[in-house]
Amino acid sequence: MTDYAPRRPLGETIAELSAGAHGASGDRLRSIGIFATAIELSLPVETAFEGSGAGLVVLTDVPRFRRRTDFDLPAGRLEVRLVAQMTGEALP
Amino acid sequence: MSPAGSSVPLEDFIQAVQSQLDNAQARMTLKAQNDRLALTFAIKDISLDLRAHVEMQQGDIRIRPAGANDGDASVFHLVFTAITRPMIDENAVQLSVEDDEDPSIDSLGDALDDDEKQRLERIGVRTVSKLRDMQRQGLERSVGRITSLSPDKLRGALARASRPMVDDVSQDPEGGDGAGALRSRLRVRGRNLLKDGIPARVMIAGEAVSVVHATDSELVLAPAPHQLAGQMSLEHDPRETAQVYFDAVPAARPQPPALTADAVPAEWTPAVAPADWASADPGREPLQ
Repeated sequence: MTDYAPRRPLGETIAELSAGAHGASGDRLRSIGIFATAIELSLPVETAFEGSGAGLVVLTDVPRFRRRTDFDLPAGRLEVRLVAQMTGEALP
Repeated sequence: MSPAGSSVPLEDFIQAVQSQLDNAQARMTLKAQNDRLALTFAIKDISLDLRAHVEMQQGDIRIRPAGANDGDASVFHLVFTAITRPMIDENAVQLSVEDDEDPSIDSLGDALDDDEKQRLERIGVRTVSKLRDMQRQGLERSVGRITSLSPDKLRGALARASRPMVDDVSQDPEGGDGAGALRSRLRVRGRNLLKDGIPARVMIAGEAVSVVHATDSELVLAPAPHQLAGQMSLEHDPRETAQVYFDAVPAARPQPPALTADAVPAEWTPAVAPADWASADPGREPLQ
């Protein structure tokens, strides 16, 4: 049996995507006057559930394999829009 | 992982997604703080296409994520967007409904089970007064049809909710006025003592008692002399009667002990006979 990396919860996936955005708008780019004000992402994802009731966790991660087979979960799509905010400002 | 093929209520799924979005936002904020970044990113909105099967179970919408090689699944297109606090305040259901005047349907106790209460909440009936309003408007059958609750069950639950509750029974110190002053009054304090402006029917020892004054929290009764103690029952509806045992018989006034020669305590001063008045009071002339 092959051990695959576990699917990440939806929140973790979005946070990882955002971490990339942090890199893109980091000090290096801002030092030359460039920073991202918004990021829009659209990517295929596989979704599964873990637990139940109040302990239900939605596992949403990018597909494990590039080439789809009948053994893979059907891919859905996740679109996320992130907007830049100054640190310390109240989040919505 | 949840068992293959098991479904979850749509409500649980949405709450789980919301929780994950909160989690993601907290992670992004923490990262910005730890890395001392001047900018952070906030989730404005997300949309998720989920391939799943839809099921209905006892009025619950449940979803089951499509498995591998499962081509017939439906596609859920879910969009979540960030909202501001004023929007929350405007749109969120008022949850703090717990007050004595308008208790939530949880106060119906075991008259309705959790599932039945949930079905009422789904159509916006969260308080006893709301349920009563719907009954008053003749919507009992419609509510019953939508929630699969029989009208009898609803009536029973409402009867339970409006059952009189007694906190205290005591003699009314003000008593009556005029001729009524000769009769004792009982003051009953509690809740739900009025229903639609009509006081609860009161019986003491199986006999009806007149109500001379009534509010929702207090009744003043005019009992017969033999009705100052025993079992009192109050009801708006014969199916839900409140019963209380009470004793408001006035305590007998303590009588001084009968005086006998033997009973006179040694330190008591004997009464002075008229003949002894002069000696008892030198300035006073004896009677002739």
